[in-house]
Amino acid sequence: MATRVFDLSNYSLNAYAVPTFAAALVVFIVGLLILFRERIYLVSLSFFFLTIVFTAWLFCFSWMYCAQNEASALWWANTVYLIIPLGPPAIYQFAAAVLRVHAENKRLLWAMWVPSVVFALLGFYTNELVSGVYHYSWGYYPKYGELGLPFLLFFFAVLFAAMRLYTIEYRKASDGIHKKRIKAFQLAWMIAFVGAVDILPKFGIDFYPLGFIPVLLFIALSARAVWRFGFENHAPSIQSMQILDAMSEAIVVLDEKGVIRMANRVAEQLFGREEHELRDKPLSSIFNGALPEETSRKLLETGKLSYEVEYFTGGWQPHKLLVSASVVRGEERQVTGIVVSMRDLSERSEKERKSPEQKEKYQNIVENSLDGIVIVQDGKLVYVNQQAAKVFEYESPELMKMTDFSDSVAPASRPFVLTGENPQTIREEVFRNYEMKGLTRHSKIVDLEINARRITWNGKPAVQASFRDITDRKMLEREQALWLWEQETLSSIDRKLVSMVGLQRILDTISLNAKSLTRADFAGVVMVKSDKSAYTWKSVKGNSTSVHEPIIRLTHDRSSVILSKEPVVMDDLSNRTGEDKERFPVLQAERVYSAGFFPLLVEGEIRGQLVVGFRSLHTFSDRDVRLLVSLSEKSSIAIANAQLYENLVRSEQELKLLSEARVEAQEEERRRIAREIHDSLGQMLTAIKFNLEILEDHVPPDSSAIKHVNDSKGLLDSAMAEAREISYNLMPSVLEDFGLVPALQLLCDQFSKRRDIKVEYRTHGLSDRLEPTLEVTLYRIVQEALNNVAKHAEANEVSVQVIMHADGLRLTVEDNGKGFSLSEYTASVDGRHGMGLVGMRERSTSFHGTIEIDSAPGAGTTIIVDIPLAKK
Amino acid sequence: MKKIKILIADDHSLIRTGISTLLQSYEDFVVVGEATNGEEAVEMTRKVQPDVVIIDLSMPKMNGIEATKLIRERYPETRVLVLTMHENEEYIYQIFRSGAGGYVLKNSSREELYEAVRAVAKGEKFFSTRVSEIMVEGFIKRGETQQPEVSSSDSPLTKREKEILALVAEGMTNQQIADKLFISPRTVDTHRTNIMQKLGIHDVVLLARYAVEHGLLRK
Repeated sequence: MATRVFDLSNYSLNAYAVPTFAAALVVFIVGLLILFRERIYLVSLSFFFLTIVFTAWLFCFSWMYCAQNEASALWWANTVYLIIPLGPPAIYQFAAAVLRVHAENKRLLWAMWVPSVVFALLGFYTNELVSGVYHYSWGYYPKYGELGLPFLLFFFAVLFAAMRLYTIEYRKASDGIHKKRIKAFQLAWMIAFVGAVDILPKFGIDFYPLGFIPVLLFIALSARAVWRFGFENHAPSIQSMQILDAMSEAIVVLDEKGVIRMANRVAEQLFGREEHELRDKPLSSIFNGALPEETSRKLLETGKLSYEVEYFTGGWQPHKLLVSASVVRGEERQVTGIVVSMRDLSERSEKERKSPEQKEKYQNIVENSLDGIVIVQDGKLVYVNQQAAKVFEYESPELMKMTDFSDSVAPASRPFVLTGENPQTIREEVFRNYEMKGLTRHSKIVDLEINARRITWNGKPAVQASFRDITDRKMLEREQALWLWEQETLSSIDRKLVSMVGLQRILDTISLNAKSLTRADFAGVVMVKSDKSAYTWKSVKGNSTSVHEPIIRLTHDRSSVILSKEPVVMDDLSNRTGEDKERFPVLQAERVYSAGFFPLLVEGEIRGQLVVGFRSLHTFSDRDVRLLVSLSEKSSIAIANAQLYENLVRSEQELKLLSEARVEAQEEERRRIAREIHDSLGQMLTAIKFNLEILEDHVPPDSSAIKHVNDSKGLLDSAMAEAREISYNLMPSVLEDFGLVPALQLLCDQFSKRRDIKVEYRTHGLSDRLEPTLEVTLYRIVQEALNNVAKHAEANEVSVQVIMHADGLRLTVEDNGKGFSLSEYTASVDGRHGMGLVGMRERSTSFHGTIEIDSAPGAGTTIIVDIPLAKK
Repeated sequence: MKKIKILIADDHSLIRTGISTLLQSYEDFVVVGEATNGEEAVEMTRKVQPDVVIIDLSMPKMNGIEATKLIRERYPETRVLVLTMHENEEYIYQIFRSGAGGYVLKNSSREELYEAVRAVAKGEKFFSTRVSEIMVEGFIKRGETQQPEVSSSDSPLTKREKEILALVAEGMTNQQIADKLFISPRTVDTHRTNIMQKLGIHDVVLLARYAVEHGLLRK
């Protein structure tokens, strides 16, 4: 039979089948479209099922119309009744779904589905529902059997119930999309029910069933309704716990006061509490970071908000949460609740939650971390790991927890005390590599490198700090810096000392540096007399009394220290006996308690001691000793140099003074003799002459005695002339009385006359008298130069010039004589010639002047003397 | 006839006595006082108002020249005769500038001294023969060398300086001049700076012009 049914020869194309077939196609396509538009869920599936029922009905009818024999037609008639009975419950199902009363109508739906399935089975397998077929002019059509009437009653009852559902829900629904949607679907169904006209031919009434027309209208209206309103409002149904629990985000629903009304499973896990523990508590009491006031205000303004926050759950790593909150508003736009969802952004916590072993492992790491880790909340330690306890010298973390953490921070670092409540110093989220000092239980100061961050610990803000003990490292760094500083300081002292020649400045530098290098209260240098009979303080720094370089005799007990060639350190001077105290009167007066003596040795001989003193007990460290020994060694060299230099300078000065004194004494002697001769001898001769003239009056002019008187007068004149000559040569009175210019004029005149050498004498800019000693010096130089000309030059012309320049006086004596070779001259300074020049040089250098001699054989000799003069 | 009142100022008592004895052998002289230094001479002049003060040059406290100046300034009626051992030009010049009426050397004869006192008392000038000789010598010498007074600060160039200036004006360097004259460049430089200082010219171009204007360039 089945094979015949599908044999196409049993069918012929019937024009009446075309509209139904087309309608089937349209309904099917629209159904599919709606399904895909609305996605697959209860409502859309219900609707789609309906479209399948409609499609199957119209499809089967189309084949039935085309059937050529009764058997084929009957098969299609039976088949169609396998489907049609399913229509009413499907309609109701859809109504319940779209009206969101599905749950309440579950039983009713069962009550509908069971009979409809029974009808369907009966319809297909028996003739009770479809007893046969009518053959109308437009085609075959099913003919109802005995069950036809009951089926129709069931059919319309269900349809009526569905319509009633729409009406009820329509009344219940508040104005809005849902109401419009209900109305639209109600209308669609009312039209669809017109399709019931198809029943008429089943009772033998020859009427071509036009049911496909209302069906098409229905599908069109439904599609329109779906497009305009959708099957449902797109607000999430927060009522559905199952859905919420299945979600991976933590969700809590708050009422308008921020009190938790509901929390899903993830939220329970997140907060570590059961839902009933969470319910009816304000969210802020559990989770401070969730909705601070500021955020709440913003949320109410905008309706929606999301932000990130860190939350510490009791593990060691805070969870980074993405919190999204949205406000649920009622009909009057009043706030009815807030939905807060929290997504955990940190992967680690995800893993941690999933794997307890890993969490344990992680906790282990924290516990046994080489870094000290503490968590401070409200100024109290709420967590301390092993290492933290160790750093602060507590036996156990528990013991340390009982202390006030601010006690563990050295006073200098107190401003950085970590408190949970008001982390002023940790304004930023993270506080990195800050170095501070900690105070251990045994009051030892430790250097710590701290990293701190704000966290949430059990829902409240806290500060987590991890720190590392860097005391050793700091110590090493300090040692290194100190060593470098020492080296640099020592070498700079060395450079300074090398550049100095003054002994006192060297000693001052040494004691000042000794004091600052060791931070001593007192420092000084004592110098020992060369015969080691006494010593004296030469340079004292940091003294409170005045130390006037007292010369202190070296007694036996003192000398053991002062003459020691090894450093001597005395930690406690006060502890000595009375006599002993007198050993170092200056140190005693200065109240020096501890002192160190570092010998200053020059060529193995003790020259003095570098003394460093402290007014309180001071134990000289290796470093102190090392530094001071190094300093005293450097000083010894400088002192030796300074003493050599001083000796050299002194002997040079002595030599110069001696030579000056010699010249001066010579001049003074000459002046004295000249005056003696002039005054005493000259005047006496004059007096004798006067007496002789008086005597002459009493001698008769013709006596022989008169001849003797006249002879005596002649001799007296010669003696007076001689005396005058000698006196003048020794010290020309004109030089003293009228100055250099006329004195040299006279000298040149006399020289010219006596030696028959032409002399050109020129002066320039010498209107004022010069210093008397300088005048004598220049006069003597010219005298000596002319002397040399007369003796050696064989010249016939000499020029003598004294010219005042801006910066000094220049004397030149130039002759046109035979000259000499300068190299030969310098080779033989022993001759008379040389001595003259040496004398000239000696005289000019006593006025810081220079003398230059230019000569060459045959080219004359020029002597140039430059005397610098301070500008007036 | 009125006697000429004489004040003798000399620091040697022997001399004072000698002169006094010598002068009192003349009828018309009377020695009214003696002074041992310049200050005393001025003071005594005020007291005794002599016609002539016979004064020595070298005396303590105030020398003869200073005392002469003061006496001539304060008591113009009193004349001053300098009696000294010094016999050079500078002294003569200074003595006459001080306002002294005569200059007699101590080795002069008694007659000369007598003449000198009488001449000075009359307001005439008197010089010892030897002093006159020195003055003439000096005058002749200055005439020969065309040298102005010794104390003059502006002196013309020396022969050597003129030679060097000519070479400088020709554009020669110190080294070239030194090579030419067989002297060291340092000496040439000394001369050059001396020339510039003396002439007050510190520019080589102006030096050259000076050389041309004064006909120093070699033909």
